[in-house]
Parts: sequence; C-alpha cells; structure tokens
Amino acid sequence: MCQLWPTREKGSHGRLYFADEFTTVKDRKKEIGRDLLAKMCADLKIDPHDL
Amino acid sequence: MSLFSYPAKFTTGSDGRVLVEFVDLPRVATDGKDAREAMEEAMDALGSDLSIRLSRREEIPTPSSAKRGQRLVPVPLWLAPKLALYLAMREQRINNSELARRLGLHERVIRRMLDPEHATKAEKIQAALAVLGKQMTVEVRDAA
Repeated sequence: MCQLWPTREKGSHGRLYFADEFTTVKDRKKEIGRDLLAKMCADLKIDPHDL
Repeated sequence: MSLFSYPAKFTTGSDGRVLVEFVDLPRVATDGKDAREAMEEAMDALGSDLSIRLSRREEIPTPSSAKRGQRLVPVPLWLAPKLALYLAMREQRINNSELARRLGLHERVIRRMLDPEHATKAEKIQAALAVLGKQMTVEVRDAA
C-alpha cells in the first residue's frame, strides 16, 4: 500500500509510505536531482528503473 | 540543555545539485540547485519531518554534534518552541492534563500548544516551559 502523509500548514515536505518503508518527499512542484531520487528509492527499497 | 539544530551532510552530485542527508534522521533527505537553496530546503524538510513526528507522537532523535564536513541545520522557529515543550514534558513524564492543571488552563490549550499546525505565541510556550523549570533562550551565530 502507498500512502502520502503531507504536512498541512507549514513545511512543504511530506512522508511517502510504501509497504513497511517510508521516505521524505519534496513539494511535488519542485525539481529533484538524480541523487535524491536514488536515495528515496533506496529508502523505499525499490529500483528507480521500476518507476 | 537542548539544542535545536541537526547535523547534515551536503554533497554535490554529478548533476550539480546539492543533496542534503540528515545524520540522525536517516529517512530525511532533500536537495537544491545550489548550497543556499539546499539549506532552505533542508530547514523545510527538517521542520516537516519533526512536525510529523510530533503529531504522531513518534520518537524525536537527539541531535548529535556535527562532525567534520557536516553543517548544522536549525529547526524552524515555528516549530522549535513546541518541540522543546514536548521534550520537556516527556522528560518529566508530565501529561497534558497535569501541565494544564499547573498552568491553570484547560487541557485543550496544551494540546494546541503541542499541535504543529496551531499557531501559538512563543510567550505562552515560554510560560509553560518555566513551569517545568526550563528556560528558552535564543542564540544567533554566524552562518557557516
């Protein structure tokens, strides 16, 4: 199951849960780099090529 | 004494963007197009994660001291006083009702003080901390 836990008022980052893992996600309107994407995928234990 | 800043590693990737990874919060990372934007995003990411932890009553890791090559990222001012109050209450095993009783307030006022989404005047949290024998001070230091 995938679930997004946003911060409501302040702070534009949120938490993305996937199965038993979670990672921090930036505001979806902002750009992210390759290294951050790799880090997020590692947190979620998924292969970036599967996206 | 509690310090409200967390060490983070700032590394520049092959695409030129600056990746920020928090030492004490392994699932918290962000990035920026340059060092300035990376620090802004780091403060935002830190505030977001800690506010989620506070809302969910999760563990708040104690910040370690910054090692060589790491930078300290301050907890945003909108959150730091609430976090200080939460940690002081937890340290002294005092619940909302007991703090409300000592302050002569309704329990829901304490709940709001601890709610990251509720704007609380710093003076009110300062008074609550004083009842717990804590003093809140502000430190200004040169940015690295």
